[in-house]
Amino acid sequence: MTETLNLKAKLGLDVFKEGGPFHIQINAGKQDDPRLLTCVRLCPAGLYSLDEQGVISLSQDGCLECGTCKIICGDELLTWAYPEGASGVQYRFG
Amino acid sequence: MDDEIFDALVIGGGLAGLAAAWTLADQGKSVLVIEKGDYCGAKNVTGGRLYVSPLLPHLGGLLDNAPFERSISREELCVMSAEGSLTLSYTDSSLAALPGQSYSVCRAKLDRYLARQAEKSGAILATKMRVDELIIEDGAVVGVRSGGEALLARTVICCDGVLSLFPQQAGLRGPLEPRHCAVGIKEVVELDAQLINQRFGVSDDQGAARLFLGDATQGRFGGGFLYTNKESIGLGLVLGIEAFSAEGLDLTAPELLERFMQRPEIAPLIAGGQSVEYSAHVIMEGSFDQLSRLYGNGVLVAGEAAGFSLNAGVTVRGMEYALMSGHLAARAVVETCKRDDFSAQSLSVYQKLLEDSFVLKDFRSHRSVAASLDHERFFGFYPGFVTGLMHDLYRVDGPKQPIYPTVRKHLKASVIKDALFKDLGKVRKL
Ligand SMILES: Cc1cc2nc3c(=O)[nH]c(=O)nc-3n(C[C@H](O)[C@H](O)[C@H](O)COP(=O)(O)OP(=O)(O)OC[C@H]3O[C@@H](n4cnc5c(N)ncnc54)[C@H](O)[C@@H]3O)c2cc1C
Ligand code: SF4
Repeated sequence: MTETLNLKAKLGLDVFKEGGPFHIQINAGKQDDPRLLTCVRLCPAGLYSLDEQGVISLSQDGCLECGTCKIICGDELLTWAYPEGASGVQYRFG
Repeated sequence: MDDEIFDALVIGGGLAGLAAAWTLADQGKSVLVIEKGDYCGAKNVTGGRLYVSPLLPHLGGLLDNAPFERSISREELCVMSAEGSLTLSYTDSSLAALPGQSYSVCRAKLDRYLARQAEKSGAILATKMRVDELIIEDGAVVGVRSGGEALLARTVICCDGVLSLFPQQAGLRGPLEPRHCAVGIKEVVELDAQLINQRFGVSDDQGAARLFLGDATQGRFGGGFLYTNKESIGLGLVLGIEAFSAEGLDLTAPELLERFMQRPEIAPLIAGGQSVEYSAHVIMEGSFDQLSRLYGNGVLVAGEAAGFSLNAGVTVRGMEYALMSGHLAARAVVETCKRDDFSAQSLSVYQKLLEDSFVLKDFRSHRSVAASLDHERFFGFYPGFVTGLMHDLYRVDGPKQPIYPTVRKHLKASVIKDALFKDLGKVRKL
C-alpha cells in the first residue's frame, strides 16, 4: 500500500511560488460566521481552523486556489482574489 | 504590446482560451492570451478524460499530435457501500480500437502543448500575468487592466474558468451558488507502466476509467474517479458543496480522500506507487439554466467561465465543451471582424454557432437531469441496496435460496419500488 501521507506532506508534493500579499481575507467581524465552518470541513488544504473560542482563522501556506471557500462564503464574508501572476501553486501534472 | 489594439484578447490560457487563440491566429487575426500561471496548465486540474471524437472535425489541426496519456478502452463503474462493492467493467472492439474516442490527459502537459501550437500559429502568449479587471467604456468591453497596464482589444474573450469573475464584472452572470458547485480533490500517484497494464488489464496505449458511486462520498452528492495515465494514476473525489455543508458530518474533505484511497477497492491498485501531486479545483454542476449570458458588447464567454461543464456526480464533462466553445468564440470574432462591428448584436453569431454544435445541443438535452435526481436515493440508498443484494446472492452459510426469491425479497424490503422505475428513466437520460 502507498504510504499514508498526512495533509502537510501532501501539500509538500506541490510547487508553490512566493509573491505578493496573501490573496484571501476573512472580512472584519465575520470570523464567527457559521458558513466558515463549512470551509473548515471542505478546504482541501485544511487552511481554515476553529479555535476554542469559536473563532475561525485562515492560515496562508498551501492554498490550492480551488475557489471552494469563495463559493461557500461569497463576497460578504471573504475578500478573495487569485494570487498575483507567477505566484502560488504551479501544478506539474494537473 | 503597448499601443497595439488586438483583434481579440483572451483571458486565461486554459483549454477554452487556447482553442480560441489557435483558431484566431490560424485565421490571421491578432490575438493576445494572458495567463497567470508560470506556464499554461500550471493552475489547472481535471479528472480527467477528454472525448476527442466530436472535436476532431473542428480542431484536428490543434489536437492531432497532442500529448494524450492513454486511450480509454475499459469503462468501469464501482458501486460502493461501507461494507462492500460491485464493479462492472466494460470493453468492446470499438473502445479498444486506436485512435480512441477518449483519452486520459494531464493538463500541465496538454495545455503547454496547445500553447506552443497557438504560438506557432501566431498568437502572442503572456504568461505570469494576472488580469485584474475589464476596461468597460460606454457599456462596451474594450480591454483589460493587468499589473497597472491597460491592454486594448476589439473583443475580449473571457476564458477564466469556473469562478468566472470577468463574466460577473461584465454583468453577464450573477455570483455562483454553493448548490451549483462541487469541489474536486485529486492525487496523482506515479506507477510503473507495466504495473498499470497488469492491474487494469490493458496494453501500453490503452487505459481504464473507473468511477465510484456511493460510500466514496458517504452517500452524498458526488463520486470518486480514477484514470490511468501512461505512468501514473490520477484519482480523487468530487464533493457537492451544498451536500457537504450539512451538519453532522465528521470527516473533512482531505480525510474523505484518504479514506477513499485506503479502501480495499483502491489501495491495491496504487500499491507501490509514489504520490507526486495533490490538487483541487471547483467544478460547476452545470445545466442549461445556469449558463452565463454568452456575449455582450465587445465581450464573449467560453469554457467553464460560461458554465459549460456537466457534473452528474459520477461523471464530469467540461474539457470538450471548453475546447469547442473557445473555438466557436474565435469563429464568431472572425465573422465580426469582417463587419467591423463588435456590438452584442453582431457577436450574437456566437450563440448561433453554439446552438448548431454539440455544445448547446448537449446542454439542452441534459437540462437539469442531474438536479432532478434524488441525491439521497442515488448516492446513498441504491449503492447499499445493490451491495446488500450481492451479499445475499454470494453468501453461503446454510440453506441457500434460489436467485429469484432473493431478488424479490430485496425489492420487497425496499420501500421505493415505484421510485426505482422512475429513477431508471432518469438515469437513461444522463
Ligand atoms: C477534479 C476534476 C475532475 C474533472 N474531470 C473531468 C473529466 O474527466 N472530463 C472533463 O471533460 N472535464 C472534467 N473536469 C472539468 C474540466 O476540467 C473543466 O471543465 C475544464 O478544465 C474547463 O476548461 P476552461 O478552459 O474553461 O478553464 P480552465 O481550464 O480552468 O482554464 C482557465 C484558465 O484561466 C486562467 N485565469 C483565470 N483567471 C485569470 C486571470 N485573472 N488572469 C490570467 N489568467 C487567468 C487560469 O489560470 C487557467 O489557466 C474536471 C474538473 C475537476 C476539477
Ligand atoms: S481557495 Fe481552496 S485551498 Fe485556498 S483557502 Fe480557499 S478552499 Fe482552501
